Amino acid sequence: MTPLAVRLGPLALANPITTASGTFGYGLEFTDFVNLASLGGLCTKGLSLKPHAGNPPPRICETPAGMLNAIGLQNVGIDAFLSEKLPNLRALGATVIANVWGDLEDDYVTVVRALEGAEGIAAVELNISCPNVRQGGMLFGNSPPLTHALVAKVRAATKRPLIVKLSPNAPDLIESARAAHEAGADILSLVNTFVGMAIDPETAKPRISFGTGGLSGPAIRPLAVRMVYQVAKALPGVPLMGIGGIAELSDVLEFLAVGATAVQVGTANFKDPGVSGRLVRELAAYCEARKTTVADLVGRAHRAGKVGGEAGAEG
Amino acid sequence: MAGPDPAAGTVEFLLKTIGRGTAALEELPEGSAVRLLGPLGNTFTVSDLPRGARVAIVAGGIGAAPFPMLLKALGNAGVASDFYFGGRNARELALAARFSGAVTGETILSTDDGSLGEKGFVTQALSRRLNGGAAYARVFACGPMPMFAALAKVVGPAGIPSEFSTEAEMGCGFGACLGCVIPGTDKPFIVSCSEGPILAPEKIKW
Repeated sequence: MTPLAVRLGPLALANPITTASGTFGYGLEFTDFVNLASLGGLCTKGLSLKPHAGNPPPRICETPAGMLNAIGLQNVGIDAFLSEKLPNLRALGATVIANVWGDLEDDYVTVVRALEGAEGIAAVELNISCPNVRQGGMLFGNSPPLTHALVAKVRAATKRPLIVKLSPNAPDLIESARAAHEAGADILSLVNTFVGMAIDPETAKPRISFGTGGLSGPAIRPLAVRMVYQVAKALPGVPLMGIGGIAELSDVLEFLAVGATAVQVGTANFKDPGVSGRLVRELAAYCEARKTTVADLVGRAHRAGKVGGEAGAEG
Repeated sequence: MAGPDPAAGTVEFLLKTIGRGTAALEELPEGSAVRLLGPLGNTFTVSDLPRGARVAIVAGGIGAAPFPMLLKALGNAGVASDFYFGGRNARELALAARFSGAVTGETILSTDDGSLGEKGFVTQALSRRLNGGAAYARVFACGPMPMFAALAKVVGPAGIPSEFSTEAEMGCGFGACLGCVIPGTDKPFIVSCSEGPILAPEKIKW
């Protein structure tokens, strides 16, 4: 194993730096900026059974240290992904994590089955936490019993490493995480965006046509770090991918410390499309200089002992 | 981008300060280094216009920014340009001086409040001249969406091929985030940054 290699249950990655679904297109948009093969992996745009048009504009707006989005899961659909995108990703040597969403349980299962026969998919990530569609999406993520039922059904349909992406908007994140894990998820990724809202002061209308949008970027990082810490503590041994405002090496180290074995870089890809490749290089240099491995960096905050005020996390 | 000057090794940008990003650019000391991602998206089409052709350029406010470069390219191609420049008030037309000497045809200024040039919308100024017999091989436009919507109703019935440089809040700039879409006529959404920003008005669902 190289110093950067990580293992998340059945999923082995060359390094812990991956890119978050919805912020990296199908990967192919970024080839001018990043050698896709150098990344630990890339999570595709959320794939659905049929092509999906998404929400009317405006879809995004800038907010302090982040942004709101309500793209509405626009995507080419699983068939076009398999025939047009995946062969190119394979040729580029990318480690592909296929992100999947649906309106109904059966939609997820059908898409996952279609992926099962495809060559060049390292893992499947279920989006049960998108706040920007009327049906499905976050509905599954907000109810532990629904989460359990969906994940169990998908689990039965795939032999691939299964990641479930959790919603920070769930009433009880730990219970959602537990439900996904108990239903057969190999890995949990967290967090998706926080439901937010921004109003144009002139018109008093929401700045995003959907009304609300998902908040992402450095603004959410402390919230995400806390949530990864809590889930790592509640479910020791369950591999986690940390997501939330990661833009610098120090952010990667922070998520590793609270128990993430890998991370997903999201909104930062818009500010600097080469950021993911840069983080891989910086992490390699860090491990080299410190004579350490990524595996040794995982969970340091837990090993450091009890965190002050831990019991009062809710208030 | 208003114009590159290869001889001088410079690129000119015209900016309107509307938020923190543009404010930061405005406050940059001379000689500062800036990281730039570009050029992105498509361009206005000039090469197919015959020498001696006449075109209209329609600009709304800071929408005038890309036109110094286009005017130069049109001038080099022997194409005459009438420049329609509109804004809410005289202050929004402060850039007009930047265009003196660059416009090969007529310059028509208009303001909503009548404080400078013709009173009314820039689209009305164009419409009046078309009704008066003016003919254009193409209309190039840049400005806010309401101006485009009104302009589409002028150039469409007049049958003038047009290119609108659209404006939308963009996340990535190269077709990955899908944040800057515009409703389309032959598909639900056009990705403004990568399929545009310059689009034919008949492709846009108004």
